[in-house]
Amino acid sequence: MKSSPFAANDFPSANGGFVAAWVRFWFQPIDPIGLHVVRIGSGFLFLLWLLPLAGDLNGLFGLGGWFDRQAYAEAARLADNPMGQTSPVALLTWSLIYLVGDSPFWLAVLYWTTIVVVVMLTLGVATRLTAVLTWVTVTSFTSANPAIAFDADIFLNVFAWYVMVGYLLFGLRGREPTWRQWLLGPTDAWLLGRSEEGRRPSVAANLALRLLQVHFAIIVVTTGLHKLQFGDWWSGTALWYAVVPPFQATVADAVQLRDRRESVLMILSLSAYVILAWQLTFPWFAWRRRWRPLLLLGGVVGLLGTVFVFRYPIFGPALVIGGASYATPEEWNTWLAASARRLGLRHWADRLAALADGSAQAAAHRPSVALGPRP
Amino acid sequence: MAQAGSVLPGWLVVVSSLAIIGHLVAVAAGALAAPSGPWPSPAMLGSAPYAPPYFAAAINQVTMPGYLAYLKLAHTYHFATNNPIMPGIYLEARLRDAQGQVIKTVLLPDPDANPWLRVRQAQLARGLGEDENIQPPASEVIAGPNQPTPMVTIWEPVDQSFQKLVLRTTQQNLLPRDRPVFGPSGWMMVLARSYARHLARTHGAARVELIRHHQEPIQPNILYQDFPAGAFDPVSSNFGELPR
Repeated sequence: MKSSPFAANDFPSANGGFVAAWVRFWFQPIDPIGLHVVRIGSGFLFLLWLLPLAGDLNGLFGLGGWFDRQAYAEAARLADNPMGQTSPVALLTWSLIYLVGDSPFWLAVLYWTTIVVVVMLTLGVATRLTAVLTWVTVTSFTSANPAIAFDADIFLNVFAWYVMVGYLLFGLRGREPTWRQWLLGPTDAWLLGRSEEGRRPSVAANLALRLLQVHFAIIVVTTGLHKLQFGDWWSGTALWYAVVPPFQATVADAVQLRDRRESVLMILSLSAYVILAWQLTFPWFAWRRRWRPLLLLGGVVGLLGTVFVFRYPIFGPALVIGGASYATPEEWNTWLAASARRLGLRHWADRLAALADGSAQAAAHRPSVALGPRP
Repeated sequence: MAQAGSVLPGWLVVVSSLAIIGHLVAVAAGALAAPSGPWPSPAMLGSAPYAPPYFAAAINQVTMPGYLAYLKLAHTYHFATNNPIMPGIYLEARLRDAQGQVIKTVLLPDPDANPWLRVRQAQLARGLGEDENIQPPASEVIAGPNQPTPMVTIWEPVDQSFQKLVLRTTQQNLLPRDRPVFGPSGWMMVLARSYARHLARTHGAARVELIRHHQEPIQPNILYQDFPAGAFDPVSSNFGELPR
């Protein structure tokens, strides 16, 4: 644990007792660059999810599509599973798509409106408004059709929710906002945050990132524990099925591997256990800065594995964005300064380096816990 | 860096903390409130899925439909893709006109579709792969007065190879007892009928014959032993001709 209050993405120490650690963890104002990065990453992920589906909107989402109005009615009559699992349509609640009905025209209008809103949010335009609209529209698409619901879709909903929470609250305190800023959000959320005097520390950014971090950790550990319910993960052969997928690999392909079976099984079992270890110990290292390479390496390997081995285009980017939410503002400023320097953008590199230094200095001189009236 | 941001008043910290705790308890309860297993179960003389812990299920019963579902965060995080043994499935839809002539054949997933769309198509196909194990009744089922005999729909092999299956509706009492019997779940049939209606509407077909092709994954044991010929051959399951 660092003494810096700006190092808000480190695991909280017990200095000052549990209450102080709790307040520091959740309510410490931080440089909002982490929230901006998550917003931009999430925006790209939403577009990555939505744009490739543009060619078959009515089939995928319309009430005259793959899962039509009659199917909703039939599915609603299905009994719940006696083990506690509900009917696939029981938790659908709301979606703007249900308002659109069977109309391909209005569905297209909703879809392209969503794209515009997501692009605006990604850029940082009117973030208070576009964050809410993004959550409403993106989740309307991700959760509308139970026939095409995929595991990784929940990450989009999670990101959309916490980005919305962050930007709903971002910039509400501090300077007196104008009515326009109340409605649309502060103007200093453009891209990674622009302000001549530097980015203002934000409680909202910390709160939203903390909620996302804890929720993401719950997901990672739960899915790791769930894997342990399958014997193939215990035996280390879980990844075998990705090596010889049905309809792609033949029995002859598999038999050819007999000559190298020791090395094949060694690699596969070791990889399976590394995945399990990474997931099950995730909360232990995710908040510790010294273990950051492990966090990021896991995200990158997950990205490559899910995209190129399992052919799941959303899981990998979601892992990277979720992992990125744990980086501290100093880390972001340092990394971005180094990247800008490498690209020859000296002005940006100097500015980001100054922000990183400023964060560290402010961290060293600020009380770590502040409870009291608004100054 | 700018001056430190404003601090929150104590009451707001308390209220926010309660909201945070409530929210995360709901998320954690959702993660725990999923059945587990199947685990070895002496009571079931074999293995059986186990119900979720009572405390989590009790919380989840309130928070999942009343809170998380509206936030679109209702999920157990027990991802289906955690199960490595997933059969390969693709659908073949033969679209027929009023005279019964095939006017088009559609494959799902479409090999020419982009990877993102193919994932969605594969998801629909996978939804048609979740057969239910149907147990014959322990004793003869007798219909009530003026009630029809209970019927069930099962997959019936066309020949001894078990490589081609068709749907057949039969009396519950006449279920085969010499082999495991599987049938489509209610959810599968909802999906199949809906997709067939969509294809018929889109392509102007009168009826759609839907065929599921699935292949069990090749087991890693094959690295050490031979399996009987045809053990991993694809199986075709014909849903029959579904109306528009």
